[in-house]
Amino acid sequence: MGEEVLRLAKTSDILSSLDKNPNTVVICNSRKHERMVIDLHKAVAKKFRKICMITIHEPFPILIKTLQEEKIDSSRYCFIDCISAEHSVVKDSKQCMYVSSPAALTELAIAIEKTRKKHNMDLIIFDSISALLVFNAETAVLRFLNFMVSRVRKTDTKAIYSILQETRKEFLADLTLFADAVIEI
Amino acid sequence: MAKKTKRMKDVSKPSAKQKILIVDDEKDIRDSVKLLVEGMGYETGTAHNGKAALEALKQGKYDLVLLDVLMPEMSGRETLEEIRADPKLKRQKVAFMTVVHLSECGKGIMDRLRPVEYFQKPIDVADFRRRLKRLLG
Repeated sequence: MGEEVLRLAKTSDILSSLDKNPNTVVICNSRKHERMVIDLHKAVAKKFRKICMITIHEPFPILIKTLQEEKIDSSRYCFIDCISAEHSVVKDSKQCMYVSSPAALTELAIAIEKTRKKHNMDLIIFDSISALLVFNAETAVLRFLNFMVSRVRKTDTKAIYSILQETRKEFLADLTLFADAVIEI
Repeated sequence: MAKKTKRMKDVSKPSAKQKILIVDDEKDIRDSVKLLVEGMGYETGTAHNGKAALEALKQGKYDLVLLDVLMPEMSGRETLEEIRADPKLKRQKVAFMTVVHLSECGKGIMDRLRPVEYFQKPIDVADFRRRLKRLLG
């Protein structure tokens, strides 16, 4: 990936990157990931009007509890929960839409479009692409992300894609082909 | 009169049959591009992924490779990296044919791999024919 990646950046670098690069990939190692996501929420909740959080590995109730504990304004958020329907009966609410499985990429794309129309969000956060890779083939995830990147460019939206550093480097290199910026924290 | 017709036909088709390797994991796309390219008078070979493409290139000579980017097992980028690293294949003419809209950093990566052309899917047939002819003469 070479010089295409901005290494050892800070959370504030993600925000400045988004000004120029609507699709920013954030690479973070698994030990720092949880803290990085909380810091990111603290930063984006002050800057963006409506944030769509796509959660792939953490159920919506746990996520909203974490935001509240960290005193982050959760009213700015809407959620797409891809994991809860795998192991419990769920029903869409005002703030959260459920997708049947992280493997249901078309359903996820439709849920994002519906949420975009309903909430008119200005930021989408995918957490995490690595979790999507547990349920889908790499090529399927890359095709889905290529579609998402194009949609984000066509609409007045920004997107952050979090991904673990431990992900196969060839996948990261292919993702770098169409992501607007890649930042390593 | 018959001679004149033959000469006119020869002008629109490649003089000696040039060969193109079409690499795409989707069979429908391989078949459609094969039809299109053979209709222009070129010979074709096909491969369903990067590894199969490398095998095909080691076994036969191709004037051009039309290479998809997002493929299982070995992506188009990885395939072209392997081609450029192989002393026998490094001068191979390769064009990408893909749905991927390269970002600025993606363009930087691809430029270093020296593809001769970049065809965006879905392809515009007239534009594809014109650029392919220009590439192969």
